[in-house]
Amino acid sequence: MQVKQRTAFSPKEMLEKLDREYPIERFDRPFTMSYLVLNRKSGEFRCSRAGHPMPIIIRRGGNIESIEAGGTMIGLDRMLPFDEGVGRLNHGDSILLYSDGVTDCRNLSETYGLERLYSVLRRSSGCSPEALCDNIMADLLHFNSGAAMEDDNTILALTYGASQE
Amino acid sequence: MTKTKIRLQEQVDGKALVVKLLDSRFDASVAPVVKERFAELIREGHQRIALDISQVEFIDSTGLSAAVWALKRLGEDGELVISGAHGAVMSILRLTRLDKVFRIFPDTEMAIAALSG
Repeated sequence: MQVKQRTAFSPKEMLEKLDREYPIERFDRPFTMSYLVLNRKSGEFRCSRAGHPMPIIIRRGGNIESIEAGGTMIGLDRMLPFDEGVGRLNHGDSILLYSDGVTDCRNLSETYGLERLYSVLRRSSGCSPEALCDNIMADLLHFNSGAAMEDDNTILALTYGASQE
Repeated sequence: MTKTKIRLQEQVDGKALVVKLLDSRFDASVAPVVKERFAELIREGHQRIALDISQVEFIDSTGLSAAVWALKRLGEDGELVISGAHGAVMSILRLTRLDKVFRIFPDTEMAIAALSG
């Protein structure tokens, strides 16, 4: 019997691999992404992003941190190196990944922006990941008065240790 | 000086071609037109292009993709530089680290000088 060893890529290695695999010439466009690997036992994570909005950590007490590490879009074929950030989530901390459709959402006069998002996140510290996403969407809909969004809004929230509560 | 499909203004200056985007948004409503025009210009032999986005107040990933596509299409024999990026647009270029990929100039004159050097 053969046992295949699982190969775990670090986020940096994964983005480098994708950048080689998906040059812009292949599909005629670059793409952005974030990649995060979380150790469920220790809460330690490694993270890198390719031109994507920075992942945000919402500490249980309401402090907000963003993870800058990464590089540019996938598809530029090693034009820039990717770097990798490391950190740790403590019990009750959340992490948010989202697409630029959230912060770029516009109403008649303004762009939603990062500060509004941070404000919702501070108010939502301690909430479940579902409630956190719901609060963001509710605030976005309030901001643009329920009009159709111009771009997609993809939001992924994770709370460390939530299932043990 | 010519206008292309209302949204672009083009001017040859020395060795450089300046392409000015006249819209305030460089997003999915504009990016395909810009990309198509870049393809034509590159086929026509333009190799040093300055993209003037001084009128642009908003850019998203589709706009960035169009510029990146042109840069890559030009390859090592050519260059696309960006001029006039400011405010939120400049922030996005930094966020996506494209400020390290493109040469970025505060105004078109500096971009032309760099491309003509």
